[in-house]
Amino acid sequence: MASTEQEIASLVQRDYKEGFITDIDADTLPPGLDEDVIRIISAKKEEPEFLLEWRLSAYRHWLGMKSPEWPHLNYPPVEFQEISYYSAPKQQQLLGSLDEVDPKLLETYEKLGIPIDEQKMLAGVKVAVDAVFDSVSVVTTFKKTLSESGVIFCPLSEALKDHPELVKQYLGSVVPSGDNYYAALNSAVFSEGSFVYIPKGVRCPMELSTYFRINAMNTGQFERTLIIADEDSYVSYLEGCTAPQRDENQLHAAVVELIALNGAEIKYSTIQNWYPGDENGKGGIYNFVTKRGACRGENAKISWTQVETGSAITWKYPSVLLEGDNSIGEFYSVALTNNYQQADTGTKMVHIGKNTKSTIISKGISAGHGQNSYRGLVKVVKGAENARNYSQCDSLLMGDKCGAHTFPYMEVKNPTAIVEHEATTSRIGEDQLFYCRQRGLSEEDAISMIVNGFCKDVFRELPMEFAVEAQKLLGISLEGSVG
Amino acid sequence: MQPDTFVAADTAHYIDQFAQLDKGLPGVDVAWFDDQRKKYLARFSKIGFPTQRDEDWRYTPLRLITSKNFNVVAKPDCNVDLTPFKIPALDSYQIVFVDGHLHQKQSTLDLDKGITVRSLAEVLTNTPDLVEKYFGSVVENDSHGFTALNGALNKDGVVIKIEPGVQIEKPIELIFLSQTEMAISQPRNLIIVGKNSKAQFIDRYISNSTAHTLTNSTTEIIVEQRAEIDYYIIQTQSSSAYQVCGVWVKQAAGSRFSCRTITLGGGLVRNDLRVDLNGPEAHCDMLGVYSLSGKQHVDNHTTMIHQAENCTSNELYKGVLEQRSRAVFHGRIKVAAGAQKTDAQQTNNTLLLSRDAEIDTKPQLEIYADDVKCSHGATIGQLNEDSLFYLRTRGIDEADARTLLTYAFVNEVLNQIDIEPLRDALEKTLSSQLIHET
Repeated sequence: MASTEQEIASLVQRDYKEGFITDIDADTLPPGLDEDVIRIISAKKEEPEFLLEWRLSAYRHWLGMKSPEWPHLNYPPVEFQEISYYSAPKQQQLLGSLDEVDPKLLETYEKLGIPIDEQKMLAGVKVAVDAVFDSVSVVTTFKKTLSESGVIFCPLSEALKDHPELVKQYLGSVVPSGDNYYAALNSAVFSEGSFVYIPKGVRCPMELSTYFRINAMNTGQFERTLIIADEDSYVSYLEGCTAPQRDENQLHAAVVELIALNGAEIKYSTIQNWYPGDENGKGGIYNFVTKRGACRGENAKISWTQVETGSAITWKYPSVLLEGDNSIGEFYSVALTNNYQQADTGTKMVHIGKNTKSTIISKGISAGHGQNSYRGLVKVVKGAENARNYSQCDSLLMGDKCGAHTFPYMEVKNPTAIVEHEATTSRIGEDQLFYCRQRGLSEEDAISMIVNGFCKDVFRELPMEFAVEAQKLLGISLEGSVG
Repeated sequence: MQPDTFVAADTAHYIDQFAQLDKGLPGVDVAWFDDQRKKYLARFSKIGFPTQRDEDWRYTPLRLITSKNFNVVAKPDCNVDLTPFKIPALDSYQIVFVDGHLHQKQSTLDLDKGITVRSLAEVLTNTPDLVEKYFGSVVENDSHGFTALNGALNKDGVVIKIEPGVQIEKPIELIFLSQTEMAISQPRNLIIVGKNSKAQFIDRYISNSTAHTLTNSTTEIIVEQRAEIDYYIIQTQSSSAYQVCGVWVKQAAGSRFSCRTITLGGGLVRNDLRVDLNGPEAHCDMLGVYSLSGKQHVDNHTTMIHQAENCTSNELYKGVLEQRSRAVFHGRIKVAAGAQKTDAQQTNNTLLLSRDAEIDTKPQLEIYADDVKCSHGATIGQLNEDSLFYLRTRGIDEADARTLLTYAFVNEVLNQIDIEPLRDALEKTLSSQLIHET
């Protein structure tokens, strides 16, 4: 089996191609956090008064909270005073077209393979992108096409100016400002994010996507995404993230709120590829994220799909509150931890309305010294008639120094509920490998095939282009690993 | 999920009891034992009773226990008739405790050669050295406040030692009866089963009245190489009786330990069962049934630790909840680094038969080795409508059909009870509990 172990080792070793730094002048606040910093951020964003008050009350609340200690994670405490809470590439006026964007930024996104030039897009693969660089949105594409069908897709700061009533109505309505430690911090200092509104009966004509990039040193990224799908509308939203390779840990504490009204459907996909740290566990992003969707109306549906391959530490539980009758929540996740990465991720499905359904499929892969935990809650409240849940959490172990853990919680207070949970943990079977080898596959192809097969249930939920990227990320450059 | 707002329980009451009893507690002259007692007391004074803020107790409110001041009984009333509690046709060695004290007359202490059964108080008086190396070696030192309270205030218990190579035909039946109003019984038991030995134990927790009582037991079990043990915990107390039952087991190489926890009674029952598989090729079964009604609450907290290679474990808990009852299942499997070739399975199935019943289940896997096969599954649901319909078409009325199906559901565990008279008695009790009204 020695060769197999080498195989696995080479399979999971790879360079972080997105680890470069863009040299650009930035307007960065000095590290530190107090009420003045929050006032400055709010002023820079020219925010309405209500938002500043909201931020300040979140901050005051946060001061009285404690960092969560229950996750199965191990890391030194975060020094919040050493982080800069705002960093923006310098640019003078509002941009009319892509030509006015700093070429260095364009180059950055080109290097990352993010399509922000509408002309260069392939016909048929239309994705509208909001590119967020540190604390600000650089560019949002296809705005015109989208606005023709009434879809609003813009940076949150712009939405605050153009549609304050929508923001005011929904911001914090799913994740209240004091929800948890990192959500409270985000509420106080968030600097950017995307805002999406899909009007009644509209099926969003293209995939919407936000691409997050941390560039500046010692900064934290605190974005806040708000997606509202009005009655009978549909939207598919993608999110990607990368960061330069640095020795310090950087904090990313985002909040995502989804609201689906009667008959609306939101599909939210994430490919998280923050810098994971080096092979000795040095550096990497702390990814402490609160994501939650509310099915506010009848027959609403929210689906989370995530592929988590990056970050030194991941702490996130995309959840769905199934408030409307017949609403549906889904969670599909692949989480990979390698080297010294740690992940504590999962979901919460709260069944409140009648005839609600939820499905949870979680696939964890641990390699190196990685620690991978699934943590999930399925809750059926007393009035939730005929709730149905199915959960499956599988873990794959590669090597004897990693760990895979499962912590599901099921709380059921209604006798008409049917809740099922299954979890398995194993490694790649020698017989599976042998079978593939016997069919003429090389060892590396066999392993890659088995790993991809293991994740298939999740990958097939991803939009096409993302699925390919995810497989590549996971399939993890195999070139030259066989001698 | 609301945390219990009840403020720290009245730990002072028990610390007072200790001060009053101090000299009267067994083992007061035995330095190492007395030392242990004081350490437990210090720990109890520090941590007190658990609250729902503790992750391991989040679903179990303890108001029923912590709002009352239970008292250690100085001298129990031994004129008790145990006949109604007898399991028909069961031939066993009986050891009886009443309110935490050994009942000499009703107990068989004089067993066959190779088996020693003595009371803890007596061992501590006559031959304390015999148990020194075992005592406190299995139970977790950082366990919760109830374990500390037992360590501090235990009055008696049973010490059973089975020499290597001894096979006992008859089961050893340990009966713990709670009968005095506001009595706390805290048996502290130690069981050592030598190499290649074979034994069956039946722990029975009963109460004979409407008295409010608390039984807080700690049992340490050491299973030597290739020994085989069948262990039954049968809980049929009345609903005014509360119980915290801790069983801690260490298994050596090649040994087998099968535990069956059957909870059919008790107002509030918490079971902590922890097994450490310390030697290779050991096997452990943890099976459980809980059938609750009224306002009963049972919390099964199991921990299976795979420390060595090539061990297997199998866990299955099945429950039926009616009326306003509530059950909690927390099953943890941990596979330590190096425990390769582990095969660990765990399942929890619960039938929720009432609008007001609640189940909170929390299976948990923690795996630090790669060449393992581990799985857990949990289901929560109702009786299958199709099965019910099928039975109705065969002329069985709805109530009977429900009883039959519910019984079949738990029978998967019950039919794994090898002691026939015990199985018959449990089947009878259970059937009478499962009479449904439609």
